[in-house]
Amino acid sequence: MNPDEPGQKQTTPTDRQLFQDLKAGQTSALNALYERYAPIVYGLALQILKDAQEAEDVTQDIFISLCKDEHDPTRGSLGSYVTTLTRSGSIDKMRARGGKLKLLEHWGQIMPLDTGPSSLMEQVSFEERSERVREALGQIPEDQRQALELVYFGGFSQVEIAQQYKVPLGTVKSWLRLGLVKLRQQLQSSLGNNGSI
Amino acid sequence: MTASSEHIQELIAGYVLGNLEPEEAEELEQLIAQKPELNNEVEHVKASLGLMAYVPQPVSPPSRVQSAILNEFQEFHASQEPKTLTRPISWRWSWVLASAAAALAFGFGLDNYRLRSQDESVIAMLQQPNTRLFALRGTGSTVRASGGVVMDLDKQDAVLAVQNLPALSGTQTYHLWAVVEGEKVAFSRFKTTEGKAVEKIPLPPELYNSVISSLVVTAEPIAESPSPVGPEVLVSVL
Repeated sequence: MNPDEPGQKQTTPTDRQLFQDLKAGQTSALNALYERYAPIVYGLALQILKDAQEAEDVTQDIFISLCKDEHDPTRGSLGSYVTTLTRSGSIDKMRARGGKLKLLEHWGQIMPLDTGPSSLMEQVSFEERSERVREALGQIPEDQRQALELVYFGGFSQVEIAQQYKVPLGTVKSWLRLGLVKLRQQLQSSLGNNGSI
Repeated sequence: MTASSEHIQELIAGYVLGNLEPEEAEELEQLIAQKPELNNEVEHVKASLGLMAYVPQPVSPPSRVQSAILNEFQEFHASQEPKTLTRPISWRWSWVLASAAAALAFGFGLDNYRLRSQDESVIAMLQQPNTRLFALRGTGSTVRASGGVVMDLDKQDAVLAVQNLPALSGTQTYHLWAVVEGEKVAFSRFKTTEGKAVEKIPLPPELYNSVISSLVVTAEPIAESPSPVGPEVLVSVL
C-alpha cells in the first residue's frame, strides 16, 4: 500500500520510479501516478472550490504540469508537491471569483511536508495519513477546529469568521493559533516520535 | 512545558498562519536569533498545517479527466521525440563517418569527402564486427540525393548522413524507416540544413534483434506519422 516502502519495491513502484518512467514517456507510469494521487487532488480541490468543473480543471492542470515540468518533485515528496499544487491551483480559481483569500493564500504556499519522503508521515499510506490527521483534528476544541477549517477549506478571512461567530477578531486569531498548536501536538503524539513529522 | 514555551508555540503558530502583529513578529525574530533551533519547530508547525490537505475524502475524478491528461501526455512526448532520440554531432566527424561508410562499402554518394585517417573513432566503429552499412540513393525527383547509414549493432548506435535533399515545407519532416520482414519500422526523423543532415541516432529498441533488409527515407506530411504515407526520397541500395 505504501509506495515508498523499500521492502515493497518489487511489487509497488515508488513515486520516484514512476516519475522517472513518466519522464521517459511511459503511459503506464502516468496511469499509476494518476491512480495514486488523482483522488487526493480532486478531493482536495472539490473541498476547497465546491465546484466539480473547476476541481476537474485543477486536477488536469496538475497532472499535465507533472508530465511537462523539468522540476523533479520526487527529490522531496510527490504527495506534498501535488497537494501544494492543488491548493495553489484552487486558490487561483477562487481568486478569479474575487473571494477574500488573505490567509488561505498565505497557507497555499506552505508545503504539507517539507521534510521529504524519509519523514514518518511519508512512510504510511495515504489512508492512514489521512486518518491520523482527521483524528488529530478531532481532538482540537470545536471552535478552534472550525476556525481552521473555515480558513483552510472555505477561504474565509479572520474578520469574516469573527463576524459569523460574533466574537472579537482577537478571539479568532487565538482560536487559529491554539488550534494549530494543538494540531501539531496531536500529530506528534499520534506518530509517537520526538518531534519530527 | 513552561508558560514561556507555550507563548513561543503560539507565536510560531501565528507566524505560520500569517496573523502575527508587528511587535509579535519582532519578538519571535529575537527569540529565534537567541535559539536558532526554533527554526525546526517552525518547520514542524508548517508541516502540521500542510497536513490539513489530507483531511478531505479522496474522490475519483470523472474518467474524462484522465483521458484528457493522457492525450496531452502523448502529444507532449510525440513533440519531444526528435530531441530525445537524435543528437546532432559535428559535421566534420559525421561526414567523415558517412564518407567512410560509403568508401568502404559502396564508394557511393559521398565520395567528395575524404576519409581522415586520424579519426580513430570512425575507424574503430567501422572495424566493429557487428557493424552494418547502408548506402542511400535518391529516387525520382530526388535522384541527386544520396547518403549513408552506419549501424553499430553492439552499441545500438547509428549515424545517418544525407545530402542534396530538397527543403521541406513547414510541417513536413524526413523520416528514416527500417524495413523488417517487409514492414517499415520507425527508426528516426531528421531535418536538413541546405539539403544536408548528419545525426547520430540510437537504434530503437524494437530493432535490436530485428533483421533489417533495407532502409527508406520518406518526406512525411506531419512529424507524428506512425507509418509512412509520404513519398520515398531515399532508398538503400544493395
